Amino acid sequence: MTSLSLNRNLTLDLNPCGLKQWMMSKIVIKIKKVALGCALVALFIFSASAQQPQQPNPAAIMLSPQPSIDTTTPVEATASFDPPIIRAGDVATYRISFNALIDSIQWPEDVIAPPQLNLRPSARGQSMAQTGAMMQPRAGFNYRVTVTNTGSFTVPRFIVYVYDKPVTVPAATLQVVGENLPPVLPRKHLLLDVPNKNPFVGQLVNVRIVEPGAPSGITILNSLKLNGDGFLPGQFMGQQMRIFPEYNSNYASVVCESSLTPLKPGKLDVSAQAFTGNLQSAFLGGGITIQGTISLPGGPQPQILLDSEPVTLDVRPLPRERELPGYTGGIGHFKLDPPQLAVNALRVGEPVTLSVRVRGDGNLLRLTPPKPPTVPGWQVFAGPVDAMPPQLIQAQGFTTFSWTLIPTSETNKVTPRIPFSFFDPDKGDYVDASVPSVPVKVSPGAAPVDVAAFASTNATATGTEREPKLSGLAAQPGKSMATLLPVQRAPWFPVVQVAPAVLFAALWAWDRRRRFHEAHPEVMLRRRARRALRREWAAVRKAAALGDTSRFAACAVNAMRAACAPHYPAEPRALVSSDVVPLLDGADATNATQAVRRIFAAADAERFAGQPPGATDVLALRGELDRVLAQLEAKL
Amino acid sequence: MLFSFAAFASEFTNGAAAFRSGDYARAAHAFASDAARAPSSGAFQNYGLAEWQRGRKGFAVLAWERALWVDPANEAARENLAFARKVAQLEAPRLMWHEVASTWLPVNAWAWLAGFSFWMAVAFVMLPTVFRWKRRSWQQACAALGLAVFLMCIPAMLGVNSRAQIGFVLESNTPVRLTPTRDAQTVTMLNAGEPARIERSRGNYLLIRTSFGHGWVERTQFGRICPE
Repeated sequence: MTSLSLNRNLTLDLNPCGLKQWMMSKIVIKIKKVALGCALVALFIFSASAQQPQQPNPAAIMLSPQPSIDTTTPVEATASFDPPIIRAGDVATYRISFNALIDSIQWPEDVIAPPQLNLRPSARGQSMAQTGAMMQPRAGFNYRVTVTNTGSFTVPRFIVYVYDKPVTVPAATLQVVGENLPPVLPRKHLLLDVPNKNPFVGQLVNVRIVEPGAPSGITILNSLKLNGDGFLPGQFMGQQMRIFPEYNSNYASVVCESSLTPLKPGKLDVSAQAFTGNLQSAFLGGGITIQGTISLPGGPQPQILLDSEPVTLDVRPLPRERELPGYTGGIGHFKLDPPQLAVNALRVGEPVTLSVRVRGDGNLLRLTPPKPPTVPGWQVFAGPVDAMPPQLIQAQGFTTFSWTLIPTSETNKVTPRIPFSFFDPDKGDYVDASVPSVPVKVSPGAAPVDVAAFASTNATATGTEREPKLSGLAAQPGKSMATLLPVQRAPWFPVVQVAPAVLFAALWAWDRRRRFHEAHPEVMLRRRARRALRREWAAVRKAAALGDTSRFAACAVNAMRAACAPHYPAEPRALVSSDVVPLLDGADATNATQAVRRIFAAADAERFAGQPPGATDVLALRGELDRVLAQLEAKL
Repeated sequence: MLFSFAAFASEFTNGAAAFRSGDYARAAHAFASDAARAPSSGAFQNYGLAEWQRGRKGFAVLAWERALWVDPANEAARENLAFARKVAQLEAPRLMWHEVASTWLPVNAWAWLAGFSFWMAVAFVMLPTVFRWKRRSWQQACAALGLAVFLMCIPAMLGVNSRAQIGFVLESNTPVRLTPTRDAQTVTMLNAGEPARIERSRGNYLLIRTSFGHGWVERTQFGRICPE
């Protein structure tokens, strides 16, 4: 209507006469046309914004007033055994509750109890309940109690500081009766159902928290929590209320499903806890599904902390040594739909999106697409992650991987195969689920300079770039050393290196000595003569001591010949007394000469005539002989 | 003797079995015992894997470096180091040229090769003279070759010596102090697996040089490739 009325105004303005008026009217028309355009744009924007649904602003939600937490009401503590009467050997729950924030409670590490009671902490938590305009906190501490003796056992009252003020926890009494007595009230507790107790690290494990029904009606749960270390808890789904025959209950039970992901191998203890609460809190926690005729409690319900017995999982490690290329941590059963290419005909340098849906029963939320491979002829980039909300991904049962591919060569006929694998927990092995190639027609195109440069570089590349990854175990110890200290720093190493030096030095010395003797042969002659002289001289002394004149004379002649031989170019055996005499000098040379002649004569007589010399004649010359031999030795 | 050998040999297989069952602490202990008895490349490689699975990155990096120290041809240990440094964003030790050369052969090979080549050169020079062999050109060639190999081994031996001073931070957020005292001012904090060179030691502290500068760290927080 607005635009129409404006058009009518324009029509009316075109009527005035006269040139000047006509010119002025043209200017006015121009101005009015601009104003009309602006008005149309403003009208369009206004109408478009009016058609959009009003989205809640998260910031505005955060700024909106929230109910305050009631911390002013006097803190009261309650303590009780559930059930108050048990049979010997049964399990009871010692439950303490406060209407205070749990962080404000200075809870003691140990609760003093009769020694017959075996108290073990089983759960602790906090819940909020709206009472009017305030949120009422409720903190609970549970202990699992076992006792074998019958009797009445009382946990005495004790003081706990809450908000730095002392609060008295009242005493609680447990009656333990004999096993043959009639059944007592059942204990309020949760059941934790874990079908797969032997999962692999990283495998999604579904868990079910069950509140078994009771004749008095159904119990609604809130503030559910999985307790334990070494796993990642999943989100809690809505609660189901119906009769579950598998839990052997004749009454309607509340079942809440969740999941957990083990993070480390080995034994893993998991338990569940939850507060009983009102219907309102359960609706806030994810919705309720009711099947059959269920009686819902009305009015405010007490907030009681319930817990389950711990369940032990034996988590197995993944066999990393058999890991296949493209493994990104997926565990479960996955199947790939045929990959979809946005277009099958493209030009060099033109990007195209390749997407593939992955269906399966594993943890699709944490399934990561494989890294883009490096292949000749293509540039591959990781595409955007699946924008679906996590709840929808898990509900629809598939997620989408996508990559952006840019051909760098017109010779490409198919898209590159993208390695992808997952671990199948049933088979206990990795399964190859690589994204197959898709036929494509690439035509030459006006590739940008950078793409062309990349193409030329990539064409020369011989292979794909390999990502480093952890190796498997070494089967054998392999090469070894006595110590990590290098031998060059070992104290014995210089000694070993000097050993050849000693050998070579010995060889050098030996060679030098040999060459010296070759140059001076008389040295060796004199040395041999000296040795022979000393040998014969010793024999002379021995013969003299024995009175063997024949041997005395023979050895004395041999000694003199050996000592004189180096002075003559002759054999020692060829020398006679006249050869010895010239070598004798000194004051008593005459006596020595005579002694030499007489000894030679005696030896010749013995040798040639067979007449042994007289004992007194020859042995009397011993002193003179010693002087002669000493004189000859000195000349050697 | 045979019994003790079998007991030690079973440490390696015990460690492998514990690793496969996911008991990484027991596996690490078994591999560490095996490596302490007889340092072997495979034991260090497996010890590093077990420590990595336990989240002790510094010990894992040190073990893989030791595996390469024992056997530079251990490609698995080299790839594990590359993986660890990429994942944990750690630096590799910056090696000088002679240190790089020293990684081409096992650390002990250089010393033996240097000794052998030197004395081979000496022998080919000396023995023909001593034993009066007829001089031949191949003998001189062998002497020259021996001398050349010896000269090439010298930088590699120096490289081995300086690489022995390299070590790795064992614990995360290891404080590097200004002085070798407990109450000293902290200069910086180092991540587990960061490399450093030891310059000197004093008491329970080591003066190390990293790419971030100088500082003192406690001995227990630092592991060197070649323990003293």
